[in-house]
Amino acid sequence: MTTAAALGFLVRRSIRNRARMQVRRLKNIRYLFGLLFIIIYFGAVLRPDRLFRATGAPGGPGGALLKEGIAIAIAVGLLIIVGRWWVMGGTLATVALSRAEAQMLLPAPLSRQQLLGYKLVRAHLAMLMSAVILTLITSRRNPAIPIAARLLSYFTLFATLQLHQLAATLTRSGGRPVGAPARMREWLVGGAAAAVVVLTLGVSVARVWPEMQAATSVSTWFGLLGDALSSRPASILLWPFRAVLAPLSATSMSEWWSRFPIALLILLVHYPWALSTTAPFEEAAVVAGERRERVRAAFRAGRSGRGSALGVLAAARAAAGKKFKVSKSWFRLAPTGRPWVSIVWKNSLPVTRQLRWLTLLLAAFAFSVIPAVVGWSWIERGGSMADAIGEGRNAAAAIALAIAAFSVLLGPIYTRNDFRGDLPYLRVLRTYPLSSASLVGAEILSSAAVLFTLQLVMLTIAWLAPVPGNDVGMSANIPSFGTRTVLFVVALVVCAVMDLLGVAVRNAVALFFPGWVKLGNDAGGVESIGYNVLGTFGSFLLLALLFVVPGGAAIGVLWGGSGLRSTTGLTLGVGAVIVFIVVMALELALVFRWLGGVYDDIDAGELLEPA
Amino acid sequence: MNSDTIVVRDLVKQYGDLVAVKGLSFSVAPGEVLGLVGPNGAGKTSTLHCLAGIGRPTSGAILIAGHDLHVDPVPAKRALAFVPDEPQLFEYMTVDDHLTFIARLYGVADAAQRVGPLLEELELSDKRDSLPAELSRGMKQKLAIACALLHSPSALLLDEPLTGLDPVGIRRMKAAILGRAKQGAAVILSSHLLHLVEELCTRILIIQNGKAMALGTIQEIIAERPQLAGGDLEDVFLAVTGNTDPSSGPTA
Repeated sequence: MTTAAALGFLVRRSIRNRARMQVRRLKNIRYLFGLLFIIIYFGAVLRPDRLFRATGAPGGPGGALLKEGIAIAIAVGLLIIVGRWWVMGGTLATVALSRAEAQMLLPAPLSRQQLLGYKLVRAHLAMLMSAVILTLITSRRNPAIPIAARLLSYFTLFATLQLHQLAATLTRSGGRPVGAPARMREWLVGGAAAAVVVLTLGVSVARVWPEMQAATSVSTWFGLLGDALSSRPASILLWPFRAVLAPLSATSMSEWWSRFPIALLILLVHYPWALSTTAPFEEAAVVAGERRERVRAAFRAGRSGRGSALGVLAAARAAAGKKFKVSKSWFRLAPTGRPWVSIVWKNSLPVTRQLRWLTLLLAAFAFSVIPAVVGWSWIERGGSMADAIGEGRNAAAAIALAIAAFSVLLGPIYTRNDFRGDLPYLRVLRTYPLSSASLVGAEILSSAAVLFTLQLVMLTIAWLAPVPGNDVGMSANIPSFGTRTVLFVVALVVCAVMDLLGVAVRNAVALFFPGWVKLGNDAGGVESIGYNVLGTFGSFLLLALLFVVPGGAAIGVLWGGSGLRSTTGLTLGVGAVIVFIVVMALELALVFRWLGGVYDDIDAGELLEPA
Repeated sequence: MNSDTIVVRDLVKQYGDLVAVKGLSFSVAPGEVLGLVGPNGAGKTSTLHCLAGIGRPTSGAILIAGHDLHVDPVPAKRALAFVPDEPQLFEYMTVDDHLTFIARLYGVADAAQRVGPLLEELELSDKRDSLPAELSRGMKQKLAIACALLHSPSALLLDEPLTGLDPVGIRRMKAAILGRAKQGAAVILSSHLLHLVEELCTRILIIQNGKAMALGTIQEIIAERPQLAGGDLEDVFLAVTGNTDPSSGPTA
């Protein structure tokens, strides 16, 4: 068997065995159900007639995958990314070696080029999967281009970038071990590359700068910027980037055929460039592989819900011999008191530690941009500064309200610092001196508290920011401060209840079907997508069921009280809310108790120690 | 009433059709170190998991410090500590955070006074602000041990506790185990390192296929098998589990 045949065997067998493993998993009815669901879901998209044939008219509904203006913006973005690879060096993620590859292939009689070729084949296969997923996601756009052509467009773009990063990193090393400290020559080359980019773009933009300064609208400003980037010398620098993006902005097959060969040619010239390297990259590839393994393990273990990113970052810095600075917890945990508080404290750490002041500042900036734009547009239309500020504040309140509403609906899915993050630690949790019900309650409270804190901030903005009054714009529909205060209190109660219920339902699913939440080390596969969609539907259904009894009790109070002469509407309303809260609290206590029993029944031996 | 800290009666643990532990009964008194040994798949880890409250026994009873682990689990667990073979640490908590968390969980009022000497004992003093990802395998093991020792458990369960420790760490760990036993803790030590078991344990429990094959001091076990006179734990282990000594070569 030749070396190439041996490497080919490795690739084929890895794919075949992975496929077999996923097929074997279908014996489990839940996985089978998930796969069927996803087949039905994507069935309409992947109709055979759409695979190689256009099903819509050129320029029909949806238009090109990439609009012209967006294509220029992406080209500039790619230029910045590629420039960074040349100036600061890229990663070797493309050729990262797994532990098994490092142990078996590095001591094997393989040339550097053979090893690179093998890794490129594997990397391209992974890239093909990404291209397939993106093709499916954007399948409803531009029916004039068949699915196969779109897939080729995406793959060519991704593979070119993948190869360019690799080739640039290897070329930049200039025959020295990749990852070694950069020499003065590299800094000079990098500096020169950065200067060329800045000067080239600067010259083109400088020509239209006066017009841009005088622009009276945002669209005019961006239009002028687009024109500048489409003129020389910026257009020359951006040409390769626009060429690889061009097939995606085609509106007809004839246009696609005129653009795709150039993109393909750019891809093809990268292969001899990357494969002709003399730079020793193996050691850096092993480090990159270790890092990737850690990221994957962290992702699988907690789906980023328990601070895995923090662990990965710390491990990466530790590997580089650098200390990782950890922030202190936001509240001190006294050594005595209710033990379940320690679980809430523990689960709050990944949230607070991954929250950086810079992130908060960026969020605050983003949050203020839309209100500023709203206020500005108000001035442009001849409004006063006071009106502009008022409209800006109202816009901020509307955004805050929308974020609060979204966090109520979707927050319990994405805030996972509860059992969903802690189930992999079941072996340790079981040894803790806590009753099952209090552990369940603490885990649920951990996520609910995070969500409620966000909602509290957002609802406070929505309560205090609005400016009612002028009978114009949004301010015409702003309720009075008194009404807003009542709505604020009611919204807080509703949010608290919804958070607790939403998180409880998600944790119930996790405890009943641990496989639905943490699929284990062999997680993945198309059926798991169906799985998650089904899990979401099921959770919303359970949530609705949990509202039946407290809601019924509250309605009963309203209905029964309406017959009494002495009661006012307000008294009845308050009474119904109190009854709702009390019944809901009782229901939650029962749910915690019941889930505690479910938690007790999970067999840790079977769950955590597979053969 | 039995004064032993750990009492196991007719413990059975079944996974599906596989019976991992078949009617195991033993007890460990305060100050005693029981060595739990057996070949791979003998049921050692299943037994320890049941004792630590991780797995629920199929039948039988486990009493920790007088509390039935499955009828009255909270006070029973408050008295015990378990060090698994593979340390499970929370990725986002520093060494200090782990100990703060454990202190609250077990209500260790004087935690501030205990943490310093404990970290000193386990050579972790300069790692207080480190995350587990920054620790070596041995240091992670030491942190798991520190978490187990912080609340001075009266029942200490150790599953291969020396894995990953360097020679100095091993020596310190051995001293720590013996020190806790002297202070009155009942210790169960599961390990394949027979010389370690022989050195530290006051009694030995050899299990195979989920059953107790021998229980007692090495001298007591040898006394029941005169052909092993003068032998060590390795000889006893091989004889009790029915394996021939590989170094003696193939038998005719």
